[in-house]
Amino acid sequence: YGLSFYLTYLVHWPEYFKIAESSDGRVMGYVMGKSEGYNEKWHGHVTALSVAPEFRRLGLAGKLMAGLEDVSEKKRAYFVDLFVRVSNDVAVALYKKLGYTVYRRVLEYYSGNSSPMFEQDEDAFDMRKSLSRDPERKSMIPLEKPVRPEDVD
Amino acid sequence: FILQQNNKSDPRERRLKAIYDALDAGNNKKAIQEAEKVLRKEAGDSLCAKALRALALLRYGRLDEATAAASEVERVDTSEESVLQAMTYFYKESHRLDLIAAMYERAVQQQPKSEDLLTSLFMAHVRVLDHKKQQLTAAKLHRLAPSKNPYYFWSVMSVLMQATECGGELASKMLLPLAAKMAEAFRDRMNAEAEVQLYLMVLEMQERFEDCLATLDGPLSSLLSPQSTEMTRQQRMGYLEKLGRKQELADARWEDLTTEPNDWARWQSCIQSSINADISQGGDYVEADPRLSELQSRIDAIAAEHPGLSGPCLARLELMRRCPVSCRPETALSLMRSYFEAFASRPAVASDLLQFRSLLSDTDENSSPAKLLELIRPGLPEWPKAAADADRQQLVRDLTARINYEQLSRGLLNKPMDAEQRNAKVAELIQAYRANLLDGLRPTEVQPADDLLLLAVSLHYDAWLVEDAKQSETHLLQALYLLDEGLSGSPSNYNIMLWMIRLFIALGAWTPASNLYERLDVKQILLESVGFVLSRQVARCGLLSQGLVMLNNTAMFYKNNWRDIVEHLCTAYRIGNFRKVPELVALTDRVSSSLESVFCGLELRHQSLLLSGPNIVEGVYEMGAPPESSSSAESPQPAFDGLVDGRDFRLVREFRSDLLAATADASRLLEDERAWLLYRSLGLRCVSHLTRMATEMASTGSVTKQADAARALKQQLMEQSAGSTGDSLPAFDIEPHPCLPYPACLPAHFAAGSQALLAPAIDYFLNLLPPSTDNSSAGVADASSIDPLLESFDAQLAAVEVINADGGSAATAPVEPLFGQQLQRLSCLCESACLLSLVHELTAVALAGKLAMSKKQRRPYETFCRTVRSRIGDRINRAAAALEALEAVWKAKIGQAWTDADGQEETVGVGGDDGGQPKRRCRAKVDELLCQSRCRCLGEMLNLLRFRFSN
Repeated sequence: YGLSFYLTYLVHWPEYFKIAESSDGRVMGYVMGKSEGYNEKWHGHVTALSVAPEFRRLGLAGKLMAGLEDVSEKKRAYFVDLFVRVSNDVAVALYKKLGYTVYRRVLEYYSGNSSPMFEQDEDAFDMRKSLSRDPERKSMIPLEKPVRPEDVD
Repeated sequence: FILQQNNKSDPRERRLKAIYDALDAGNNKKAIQEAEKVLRKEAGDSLCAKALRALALLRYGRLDEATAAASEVERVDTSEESVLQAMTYFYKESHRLDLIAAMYERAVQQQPKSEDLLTSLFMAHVRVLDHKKQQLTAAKLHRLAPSKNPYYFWSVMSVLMQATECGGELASKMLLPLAAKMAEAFRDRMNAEAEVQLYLMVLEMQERFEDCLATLDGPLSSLLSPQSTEMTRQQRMGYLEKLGRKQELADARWEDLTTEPNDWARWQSCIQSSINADISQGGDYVEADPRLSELQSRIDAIAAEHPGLSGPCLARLELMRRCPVSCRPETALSLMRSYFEAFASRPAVASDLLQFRSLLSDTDENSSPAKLLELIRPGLPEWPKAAADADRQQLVRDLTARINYEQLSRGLLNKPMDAEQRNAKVAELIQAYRANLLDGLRPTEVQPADDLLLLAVSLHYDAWLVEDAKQSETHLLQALYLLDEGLSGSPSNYNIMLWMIRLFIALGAWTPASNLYERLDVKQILLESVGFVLSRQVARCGLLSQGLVMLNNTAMFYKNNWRDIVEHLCTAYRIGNFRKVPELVALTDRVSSSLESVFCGLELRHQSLLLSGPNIVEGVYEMGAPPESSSSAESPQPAFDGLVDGRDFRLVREFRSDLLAATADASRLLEDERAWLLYRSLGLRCVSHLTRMATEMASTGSVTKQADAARALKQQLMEQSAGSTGDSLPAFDIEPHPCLPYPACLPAHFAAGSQALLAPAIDYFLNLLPPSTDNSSAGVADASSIDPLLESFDAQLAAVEVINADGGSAATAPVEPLFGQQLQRLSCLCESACLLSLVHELTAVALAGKLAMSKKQRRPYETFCRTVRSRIGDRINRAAAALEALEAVWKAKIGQAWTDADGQEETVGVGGDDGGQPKRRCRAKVDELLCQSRCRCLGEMLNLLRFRFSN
């Protein structure tokens, strides 16, 4: 991301930045996010979660996510949501393990050519996990039909 | 673009909308046309259309017209919002943020009671960090709307920033007390967390930490939000620390630890603050100090309570490191051993332990690093083998344990192996790597076994360091072949790519290195930490035109970032996130003092100068010659003090601490860079000075007094060269940590002999000048003044012969026709040649003017031109022929290599004992890339030389 993107988050939602450092001071991973929405759609959102390849399998992603969920709880959010490439089965499996479910599919959410790695447009799963303010888990009930990116609120 | 549409039915608004739409769509040409249409219809009196036209012209790249259009708008004082907004965009995009403030100052004079205009003025001052004017504007806003808290606190924040900026007594005796008084006057009216935080910031700067604590515990704390608990907890501990309340701090830290007993940062703070608290109570620790054993048992208790956690286990070692009196090497060894045995199958265990290497003994065999390895070796799992039916998780765990062991032993033993050991180890690692590749990974995942391959690469690199680098490329090539194999299995492994970039550069191949750099997707803030892997090499590899693109991208990143950061600063004020204000201001400082930014900016100017076409004088000005103040010969040379080095040398993982040590000496590394920047900027100033002299002489017909100044600059340059070639600089062939750009730019440049040319070139220019009117004895032209220049150039031209010599050996040698370092000499030759041709042209410019020169005075100049042309022409032609022959030989070899690779089954990797040999296809591919890139580089350089001296 551009510096500006990070700064927008840092100025608006500094509480959502978490970083994990190794014992010898290297950055192992980080998470950033935000809170948004009105009424029962007031929620925390995971904008980026990243763990360096050499520090995978240490449970860092779970820890970082727990930190973000904790902040969202304190902000009295109803749920936390995130977007993930449908092909990224490793990440989807991880989020499922952490209690997230696929709420809906967003068509062609990721545009191609955004990085040398991905050349095709790709759909996203919008995954959600209810927080304690939504004990009946209403926000997690999946939608049947996929939506277009412009219809995502 | 925020549209100003108060009345959509108004035909004038409709016409303006067409301009806005075109601008929004990025159709700047259409926007210009639409604006001109409006201006025709309204007889040129729509100020808004004029402003939008200026903006469209700017975006379309017609800068002169844009500036003219903008100054037409500037002549009219207006407070019309749409005009002000369009001009704000114009100024932002032309990097003239100062003019936004000036414009709003004028607007506010027209409408002094407008809250909107004053707010815009406030933000305009924020953008240029004018804290004093911010304060005054915020005060006006507060008087206009006394009930709105934000305006009031904007002025408190502005006073605080003035104090931060000026420091000293003015801050402590006047500004800070003022800010505190202002905040305290509003204590009862505070209604937002941001206001409480701002009050705390003022108290912190006044070092009133007791008051800070009291505020956190007092009624204002009700304004702090629940999500800030973590932050306030940290703040509270920070205040205790500042107040020296050591015991309380230690207690708070231990309590803090219990919630996260595996958080390493908390462990470190805990141990440190306990040591501080104990020592402050009664002198330093002694051996068998009961307080120490109490601390140890405290750690042990937490370790026992959380048996699966690594933090508490490492904490015992941390205590020993921080408190050497508590360290017994045999205990350290046993702790390290149990740590390894407990966590061997988890990633990064080797680097966890290697930080404690110094706790082991170098003298006592029983607690030595070798002993530790000997003890843990038997517990290792066998080398695993990936098979369809294998338990993948178990396999990865076993593999990780073996990798941890190999990394640990590289770091603990800390010295290169002998050739036999090394070959055996490479074979072992590569066979294990090939046996453990996993199927079905996503392209973004890396193969766990890659670390084995990278260790083998490090061993080849060691060998290259040990076995005189100049003699052989073999080890670098072997490493590259392996890396190519690794990359095909793990297309996103950045460690592999960084290594390949490093090695391709060492072998003089810019193109493949630059392609990998693109594949790494280095952009934005990564340019600061990673960009150096390529930016430092532009001058070495000869492909100037390609390097220019890279340098330009980096320069643009820094230029635009300043603008972006101050926009966020405005947002921080707008939403009242005052804690971020000083951070963002510090970030603007950080960006402008970035070493990478300064390096790329200077290098960009230098390379564009060298590449500027036949019209050199224009080129010098177009490249953005250094501003007057820094380029005039009298002004002091910029010292490049206070630069911040953001290069991340730990990018490429290395475990040998002796190699790592080279990256740790930050001041030495920065000093190397400064030496280079000084040298480069001095060179640029010389050239830009000569250019000014040449044009002045051409137009006035007389020699200016600036000749003395040019001599002074030359003197400085020679002094710096003399100082930099002394023994203080490292030898040319030192190649330590793989991430370091060694040899540093300056010694590499000098070793290639290119500093020898500039001084004689300047002399040549100055000596050609006819006697000046006021001092008839100075500068008499003399044919012999050319000799030193010709000599230096001749010596450099010998580098072209490298091609000839190696062209000969290529027929017999396998794949080592040319070394990266020799290529660097060629590249330096090119640089010199460009410079020479530049001075040469400047002389022509000077002489072509009204200068009256006698035939006698012209003679040396003409002789020089003839001599240079004939010498260069002859050598270039020979070199070009040699290059052609060389390329043919290379191509034939590579063609054969591909045939072999295609024709025969790869015998490696099928499980047999292949000795860790590279695959044939990888060899052929890498050799081909090297050949193409080297030939292209050489060809381009020869063309450049030919072009410069062909007429």
